[in-house]
Amino acid sequence: MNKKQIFIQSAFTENAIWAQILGICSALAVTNQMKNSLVMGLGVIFTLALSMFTISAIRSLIPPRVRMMAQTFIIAFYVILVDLFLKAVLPEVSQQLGPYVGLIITNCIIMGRAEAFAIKNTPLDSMIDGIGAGVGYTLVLLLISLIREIFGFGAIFGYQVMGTWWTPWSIMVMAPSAFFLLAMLIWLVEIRKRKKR
Amino acid sequence: MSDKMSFRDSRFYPVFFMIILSAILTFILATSYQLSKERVKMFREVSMQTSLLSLFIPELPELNGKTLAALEAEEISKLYKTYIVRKSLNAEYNYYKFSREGQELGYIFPVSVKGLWSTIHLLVAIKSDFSEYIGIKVINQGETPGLGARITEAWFQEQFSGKAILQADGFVTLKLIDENEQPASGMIRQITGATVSSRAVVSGVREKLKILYEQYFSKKSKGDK
Repeated sequence: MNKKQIFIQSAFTENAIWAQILGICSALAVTNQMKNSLVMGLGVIFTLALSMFTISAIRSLIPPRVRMMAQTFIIAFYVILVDLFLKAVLPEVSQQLGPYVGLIITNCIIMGRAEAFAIKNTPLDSMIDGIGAGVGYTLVLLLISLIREIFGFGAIFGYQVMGTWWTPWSIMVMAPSAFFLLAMLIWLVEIRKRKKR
Repeated sequence: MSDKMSFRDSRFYPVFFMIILSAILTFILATSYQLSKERVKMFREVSMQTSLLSLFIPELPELNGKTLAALEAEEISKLYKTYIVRKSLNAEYNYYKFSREGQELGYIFPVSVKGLWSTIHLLVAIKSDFSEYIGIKVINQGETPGLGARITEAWFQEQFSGKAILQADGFVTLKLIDENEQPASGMIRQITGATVSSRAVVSGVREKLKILYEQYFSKKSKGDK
C-alpha cells in the first residue's frame, strides 16, 4: 500500500466511527457545537500522529506482554504535552476546552490504531495512518455537530444563521440527539456498502 | 545465542523496559512542566485579577471606557494592587476587599457550588454590609454547553447586581422565573433547559454568603438586627 492508500483506508474505508464504531463516547459528548468538535478533532489528530510515530519507532523494543501498557503511556505522554502547551501558550483556548483535552487519552481510536497498525508498520506509514484516522474522526464530528448546531442553536460555528423566528430544539443540544444522528449515519453508510456489493 | 538476546527474552526485560520508558517520558514531562510553570502561573494570576477587577468596572476611573481585555498584563496587576487586598478568614479561605481612596466599597468572595455535572466556581462581589450584590462572575464550570454553560453569559450574571442579600427580616431568597418572563425586583430569570444550574448558582451563593455572614461578619456589624 502506498501512503495515499493508507490515508484513504484509515480515514474513510475503515473510518473509526462508522466502520469500526470506535471513539463514540467523545463523538457524543463534544458535538453540540462545531467549534468544540473541531478543536477536539485537532487534538486527536495531533496526538494520533505523534503517538503512532513513536510507538512504531520503538515497536521492536516493546515487549509483547506489556505492549498495551507502553502504548497507553506514550499516548498519555503526548496528551499531557498538548495540555501543557495550550496552558502556557494559548491560555484562552485551554480554558475553553477545559476537561476535553484530558479526555483524548481515553479515546479508543488511538489505542485501536496503535494495536491495529502502528505496532507492525514503519513510523512514517503509522503517522499517516494516525492522521488519516484522526481526519476521518474529525469529519464525522464536524458533520454531526453541523446538524446539531443548526437545529439546536440556529448557528454554524457560533454565527447565527437562522433568524429570530427559529425555535431551537433543546434535544439537539443534549447527548441523546447524537445517538440518533450517529446511528442514522452508520445506517446510511451501511446501505451504501450493501448496494455496492 | 548472544547475551543481549537472552536478556530480551527474560522475564525482567518488560520490567526493565517500562522503567526506562517511564524515566524518559516522566523526565520530559517534568522538564516541560518546570519550563512552563511560571508562564502558566502568571496567566492564571492575571486572569484571576481580571475577573476580580471586572466586578468593579464602574469604580475604576483608569479604564476610561476601555475594557479590561484591552489592558496589558502589567496594567492589570497595577490596578489590582491599587484597589484589591486579599484577606484570609481562616487557614483555607481567602476573600478580597475592594477599596478606593481608603473607602471600603465591597468584598469579593470565591464561592463554589454544585451544578448538574460539575462544581461551578464563582466570584461574588457584595457591599461590605451584606446589603446587596454588586455582581457575580462564573470563573470555572463544566455544565452542558448551550444549556447550563450559559450561566457564563453576561445577561445572566448581570441580573445579580443590585439585588438585595440581607434585609431586616433575614437573608433574601431570590425568586426564579422563566427566561422569557419580565423580571420584577427580587427575581432572577433562569436559563431555559438549565433549571439545575441556574438554581445551583442562586441558592448556592445565598447559602455561602449566609454561612460567611453568620460565622465571621455578623459580629463586625455593630449589633444591628
